[in-house]
Amino acid sequence: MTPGTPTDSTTPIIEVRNLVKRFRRESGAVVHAIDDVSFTVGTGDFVVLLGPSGCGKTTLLRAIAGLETPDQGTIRIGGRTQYSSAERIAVPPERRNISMVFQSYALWPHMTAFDNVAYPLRSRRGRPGKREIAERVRAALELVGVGELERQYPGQLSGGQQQRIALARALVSNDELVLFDEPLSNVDAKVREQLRFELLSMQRKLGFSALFVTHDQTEAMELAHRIAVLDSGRIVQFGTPQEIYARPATRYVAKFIGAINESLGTVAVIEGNVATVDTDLGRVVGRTHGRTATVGERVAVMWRPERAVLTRDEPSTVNRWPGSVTASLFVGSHTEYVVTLADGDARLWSPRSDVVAPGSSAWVSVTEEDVLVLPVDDDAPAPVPDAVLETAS
Amino acid sequence: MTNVLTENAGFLAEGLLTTVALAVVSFLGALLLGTALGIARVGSIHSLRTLAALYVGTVRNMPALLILIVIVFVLPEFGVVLDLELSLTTGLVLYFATYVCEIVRSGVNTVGRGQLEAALSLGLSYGQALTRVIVPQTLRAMVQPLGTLFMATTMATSIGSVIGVRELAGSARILNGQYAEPAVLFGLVAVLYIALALLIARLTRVVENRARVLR
Repeated sequence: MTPGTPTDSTTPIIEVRNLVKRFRRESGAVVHAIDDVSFTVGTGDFVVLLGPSGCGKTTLLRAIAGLETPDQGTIRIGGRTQYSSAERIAVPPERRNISMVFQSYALWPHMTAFDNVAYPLRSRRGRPGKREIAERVRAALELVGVGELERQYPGQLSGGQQQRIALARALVSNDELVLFDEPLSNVDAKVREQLRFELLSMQRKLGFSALFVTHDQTEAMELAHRIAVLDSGRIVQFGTPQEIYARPATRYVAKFIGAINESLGTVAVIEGNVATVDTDLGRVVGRTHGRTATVGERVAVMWRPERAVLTRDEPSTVNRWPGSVTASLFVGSHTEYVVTLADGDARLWSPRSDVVAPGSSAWVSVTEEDVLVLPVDDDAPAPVPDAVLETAS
Repeated sequence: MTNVLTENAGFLAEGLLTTVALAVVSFLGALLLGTALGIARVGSIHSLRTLAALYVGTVRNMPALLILIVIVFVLPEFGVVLDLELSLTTGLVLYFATYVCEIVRSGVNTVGRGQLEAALSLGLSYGQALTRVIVPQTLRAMVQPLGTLFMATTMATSIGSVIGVRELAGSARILNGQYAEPAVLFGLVAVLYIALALLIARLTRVVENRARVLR
């Protein structure tokens, strides 16, 4: 296996089975922060836990690190049981042979950058000699690009520099598994982008397995071999970024990952994988992608802005709807159009900026392969997280 | 007037040294007991937490003089007799340990929980995390309040004069009984106490600045 290449999960570094963690609110209500979660992370995998605030992703990461004790289930790291409710095993965090990078960096302010990175090596069993420690620390600091800062204290460093030191501290022990708790959320956009790129190349170079928590879907798409999308303590989909983007398992996932348009309707006809849905737009034909749908079922038909085509003249596609262009926004690589259709506004992205002028009539068309038909849970309509709104705007 | 001071300079110097010795020993004792109480109060053992809180809540709300009177006059009835210096030191240790406890507790609370978690998740044992990560940061937060407490302990040694300890105030009291020169004697004592206070304040500042540089 080449470093950084995701494997299948036949050689898992992490195995989580039926994990449950409950918290009791002051009101007495019990909240399931982790609700019967099971997943594996293969050796060399970069897995991202993605979801909005309060979905349980950080609690799950902390449970794997040993900083939070679950109520039920099993956690195995590197083939060894670290937590088991049935066997009454709970290995403390310092004995799990993992490293962790925190959102707040959590550098020790009374130690220099060098000592911050060196201390995990000095404190572990079978510690290397002084010279080897110095060599490894300097190599780690060079790797993250802050070799010249070894004598500085955290208080003298910028946020980006502090995060690099925290990264070096996590990598210096050469652990097989590194956990990341939203490590890039406190640095500015430019530095964040740079650190993402560097983190990926480091992971490829060193070959460690990574479990990374974020609420930023762009970050997840850029970094992950596989993404676990969480909602209310459950993993609602686990797959590659491409799978999750193109084939979201639920309406919630579709709305959380990337921008998307949707119309609600009722299934009129089912022919294998193809569903015809009655909506306010008229009849829309889309794909169920293996999910069972029944005639009369309430569903959402959804399509990505970049999969739609905007034309002046009526196209021949099955899914075509007349509308009027209310806004166009040139963003460099493409132009974003807002088109008012029969059931509200739709967003479209076109590589051209001269298709239709705002105020003009136009046609929107989407091929049936690009229309997703997903069930609607009427009791709990999927919320649109802030991250989606930011992306869409 | 100057006769009183020149003739008894040695006696007063002895009193001053006794004050310094009592203050240092009492403060170190309070530091040890108070740290133990503080760790008990932030620890995970519920019974120890409760006992420490009970002790602090009781002793801190008593006058130091009352504790001293209990040691000198009540304990002998139960067969526990201590000499006067030891009685004073014990009283001050028991009393000021409650303040050290609160300083330690708030000091530990100033260090974010993330610092401990980072240490544990990077392979440090709980003991290593406490001694190498938490305590050094706690000490920095505690320098100023501990300096103030050392000053208070030094001033509080003067209650020893009530039970006949020959520290600075006690020495002046004895001499005043012989010479009846309160203005001169207690004026000098006041100047010496102020000098001690300024010295402790200076020492605290030096330690604090050194700690700040290390940050």
